[in-house]
Amino acid sequence: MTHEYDRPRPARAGTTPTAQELKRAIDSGQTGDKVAFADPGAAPLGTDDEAAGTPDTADRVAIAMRHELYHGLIARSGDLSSPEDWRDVTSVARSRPKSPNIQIYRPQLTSVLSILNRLTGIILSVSAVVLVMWLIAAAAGAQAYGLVQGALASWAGQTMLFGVTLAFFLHLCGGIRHLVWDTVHGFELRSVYISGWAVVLASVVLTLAAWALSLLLKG
Amino acid sequence: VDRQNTRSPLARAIGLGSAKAGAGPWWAERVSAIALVPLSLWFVASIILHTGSDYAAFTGWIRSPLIVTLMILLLIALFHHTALGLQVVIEDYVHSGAKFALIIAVRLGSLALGTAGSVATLRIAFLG
Repeated sequence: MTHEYDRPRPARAGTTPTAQELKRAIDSGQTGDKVAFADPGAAPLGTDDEAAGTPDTADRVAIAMRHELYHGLIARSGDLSSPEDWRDVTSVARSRPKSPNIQIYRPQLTSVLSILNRLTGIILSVSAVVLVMWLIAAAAGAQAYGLVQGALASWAGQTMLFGVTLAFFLHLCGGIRHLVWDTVHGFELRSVYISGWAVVLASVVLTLAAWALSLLLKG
Repeated sequence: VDRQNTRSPLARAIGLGSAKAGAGPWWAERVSAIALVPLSLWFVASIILHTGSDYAAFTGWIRSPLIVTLMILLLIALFHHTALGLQVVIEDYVHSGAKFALIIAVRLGSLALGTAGSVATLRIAFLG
């Protein structure tokens, strides 16, 4: 038995998809999140808006279509009118990435700072190894100490130290933010953003101040 | 009953997930973080103030009992915190058998580095 939704997409070359075509794509399993079967939940798709006198624009339907079929396709094919594109969509949609879809997620201050807190922690772990090497060199004598100091004074060494300073202050300020959260304070969205920008601002200011002071003492 | 797996549910829980002991490391991570706030700020401020110091000035600074104490406290808190933090990162992202090898390497490496740093500090202080 052949259902209506089993038919290949009707040829409407060069036009944007309609709400009916979006519904057919969902019903036929092309969106990858359900098996091919008529979805009663999707029945009013488009028709309710039309009945209300505010039909969806062709652009909006096209956006919904592209989102349903696969975000990655937006980059590869802004136009879904040729049958080749549709086959492409079907195969890609079945291998959708799993949550939380970090690679297609719009970066937010909250998520970026969360990732940065881990990243700076890893950077500081490596820096801690350098700290021990530096102490061992100092214990070994003036010559070994001079060697390490020379490496740290080089352009590469200074650039690395600047990065480590920024990582240190980001991890310190971010860590204090986490300690405040541990007391069950500052979880309101507004507070989270205020403390987040405070972390960014304080880290940059403290890093620049530390290096300004160091250069002042040197010169 | 899974006859292929002779480990008890408890043994599996201790090795692979919640064994009702997670609060310990979580708490230790916070306590070491609190210790590191003043200790790391003291260290960074000291390094900045020693910009341009020569070897003799630097070792002379470390030789004071207060500085030796603070430096060793910094190393203990730093490597304790490092081991706990890296272990969480490993547990979150490494799901293969390498997980245990990495955690052991991080644990032992942190202990070794903390000890080496402390011995170096004491050597500067007493023999430097």
